[in-house]
Formats: sequence, C-alpha cells, structure tokens
Amino acid sequence: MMRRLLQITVTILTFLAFTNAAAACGTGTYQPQLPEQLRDK
Amino acid sequence: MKKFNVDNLIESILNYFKKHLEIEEDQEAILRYSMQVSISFIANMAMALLVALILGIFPNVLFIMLTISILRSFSGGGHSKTMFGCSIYGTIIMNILGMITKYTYPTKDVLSVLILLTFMFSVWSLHKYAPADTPGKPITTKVKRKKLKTLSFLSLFIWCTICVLWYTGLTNNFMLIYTSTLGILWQSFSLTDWGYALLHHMDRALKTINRTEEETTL
Repeated sequence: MMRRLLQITVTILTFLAFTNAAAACGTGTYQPQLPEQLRDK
Repeated sequence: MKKFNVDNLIESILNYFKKHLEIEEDQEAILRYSMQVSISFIANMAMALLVALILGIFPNVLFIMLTISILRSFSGGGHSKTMFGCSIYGTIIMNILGMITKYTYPTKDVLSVLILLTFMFSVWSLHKYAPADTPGKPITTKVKRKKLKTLSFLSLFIWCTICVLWYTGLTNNFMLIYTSTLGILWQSFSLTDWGYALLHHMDRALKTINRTEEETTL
C-alpha cells in the first residue's frame, strides 16, 4: 500500500515537472534551475 | 538547533523515495525540480493568503493571484533569486493590490477606462516582452516562444471578453472584474524592464536584511 502511494506521488510530481517545463515559468516569482532532462532539445 | 532548509527537506523526501522505489538519476533531477516548484508555490500562496485572511481581503487576493498565475504561466516574467524572496515579494504585492481593491470604489466609467488602459498596456507589454524567460529556465525554441506568446494573447482576450460582458451588464461581478484588472495590469508590468528591476531591488534589499541579521547573531 505504502509503495503504491509513493508511486502515485512520484507520478504526480513528474507530471507537475513536465507541466511547469512546458509553461513560460512557474506561477510564483521563484524559478529554480530547470534540469537538463526537461530542457527543449 | 539545526536551521530549517528547504533543500534538506527535499533531499530527505528524495532519499525516502529512493529507499522504497527504484529511481534513476534522470528521474531524481526531475523530482527535485518538481518539489522545488511545488513547495515554492504552496509557500507563496499560503503566506499571501494567510496575510489576506488576517486583513480581511482573502477573496480579493485569491482572485488577483489566480489571474496573475494564469497569465504568468504563458507570458513569464521577472523572478526572485530565492524561494523566501519570492514569498515575501508575493505576499507584499498581492496584499497591497488586494487592499486597493477593497478600499477603493471606482465607478463603472472609471473602471471601464482602467480596463481599457490595462488592455492597451498589456497588448504592448505582451507584444514586446512575452514570453519573458529567466536564466534558470530559458525558452530556446522559436516554436515554443510563438506558442506561449499566442497563449498569452489568448488569455488576455478571454479576460477582455469577460470585461465586455460585465460592461454590457451580462455579468454583475464587480469585484471579480476589478481584481482581475489589477492582476492583469501587475503581470503585464512585471514583464517589463521596470518589473525586472523592481524584483532585482527587492532581492537586494532582502539580501541586505539577511546579512544584517546574520551579523547581529554573530
């Protein structure tokens, strides 16, 4: 059960990262360094 | 006592994930980024809305923040160097705008003129600066730049349509129109060189306060 919950959390976080990467910037005024894995090639 | 640090918290969560799941190096970087963005968003919203709740301007600030967030995701804008700076900046600005909408009562004509001026300024600002990127997240492809610019204009036109509906009397939510107008105006301003300069000065001021605090503790 715990493992399943963690998997769901990781999926949601990955989805959020990709959504944020597709946008111009985050909704707040803090923008951390975008990792290489999410940069446009 | 150990000082609370967001990076340490993120590392602890990542270690917990790695202990129970198989996480590759690439995925770890993505998760770290996602947590930085999510924590920053939650802290920013929570701080601004908590102050708004105390000041009795919760719905005003909420509407302003939502308007800014929608336009900002497409148009970009100035950024603070630290998560703390972002929260402080967001809290101060959002609550000042919230107070303005709470304690000023423009007539329909005055608000209509404000909407028109905001629309004209936003068109100029979006045309000239959007999408405004940052060194931390550069927008490198032409296709993406064009797409984000189009989406920025689309969200501005949707807002404008809602304002026209309000003017013609089809909707009657004065507060929603007033707060969203200030939100659009502020977001358009934050795209400009002055907007970037303001954030830069705020960052410098916070850095000075932080340094003075550290010196006092020593």
